[in-house]
Amino acid sequence: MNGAPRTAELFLEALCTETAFRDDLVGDFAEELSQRAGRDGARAARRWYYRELLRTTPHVAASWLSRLTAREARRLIAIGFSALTFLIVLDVLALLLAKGLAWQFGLVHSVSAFRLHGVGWNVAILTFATLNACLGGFIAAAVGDRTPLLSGFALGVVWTSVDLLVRGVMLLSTAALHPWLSMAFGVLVGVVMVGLTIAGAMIRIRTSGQSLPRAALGT
Amino acid sequence: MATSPLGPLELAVLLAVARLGDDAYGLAVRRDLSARLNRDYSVGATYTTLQRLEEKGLLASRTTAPLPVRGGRSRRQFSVTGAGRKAIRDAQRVAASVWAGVGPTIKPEPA
Repeated sequence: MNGAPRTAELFLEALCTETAFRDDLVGDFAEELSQRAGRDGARAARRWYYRELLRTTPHVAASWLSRLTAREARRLIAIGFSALTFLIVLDVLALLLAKGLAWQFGLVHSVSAFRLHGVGWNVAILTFATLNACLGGFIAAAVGDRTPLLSGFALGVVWTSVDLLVRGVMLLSTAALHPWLSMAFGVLVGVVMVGLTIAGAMIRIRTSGQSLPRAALGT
Repeated sequence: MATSPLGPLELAVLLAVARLGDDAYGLAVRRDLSARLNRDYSVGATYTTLQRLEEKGLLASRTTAPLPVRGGRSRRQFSVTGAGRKAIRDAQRVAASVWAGVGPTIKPEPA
């Protein structure tokens, strides 16, 4: 027990794809944390840990991307595309089944953030769907060790169900017509999806000892 | 063997490792950099640079025994290889060449 925030330490361990590098990095964090705790107090040291973790993450992620193997790159692309395909197919089916509900309060409101910046409807819808599909593809890939196609399918089912449910709730509230609420909804969904991705990957890491990026890609 | 040119941070890290000698591990290198360059480098930036330099063959590393202060993890101690020393000399020569003749035209800033 070195006083490091357990979740943050687990995330840091998960982030590194190489075991040796992982030990060096986590060890440095632990050593500096212990020195700072003695000098500035445990609370300030923990704050430093979280802040430093945020600063370190992009460097480690960039390092991983620069060493991406051909298999991982192929899988990354495959997850994005298959997730997008399934999302669009399922969303269109859902729109046909619940046309009034979904069309009135669905995509139109979801893309209002883009519309505020003067982007056309088609571009806005496609961009929104792509972003969601890519994010969601990682959720599915993170929670299950399946092929990208099945991961995308899992995403489509989860995403469409949640999407319709939230749109239904929004329909019951007149306040939901406010564009800022729609934007907030989009942001909230994004945050939840990223959170689920990390949580799902963490589960796999704990059981398989993989790194976060590799667990997310299922390689 | 020709190596790719060093970036400013790579050169600073390489020099820090040379300066620290037997005490050159991630945390010490980061502190040395931050003190000399007056900038707070993240642990990640320091480690990815060390890793890159090792891949280029300019640094070598060995792992120490696990330490309690590091939560039972070992340290990776770095040392400059022959290629690394050559890269430092090359960088110094290039810098001297680039700066040659500039001195008299640059007035020192008033204190």
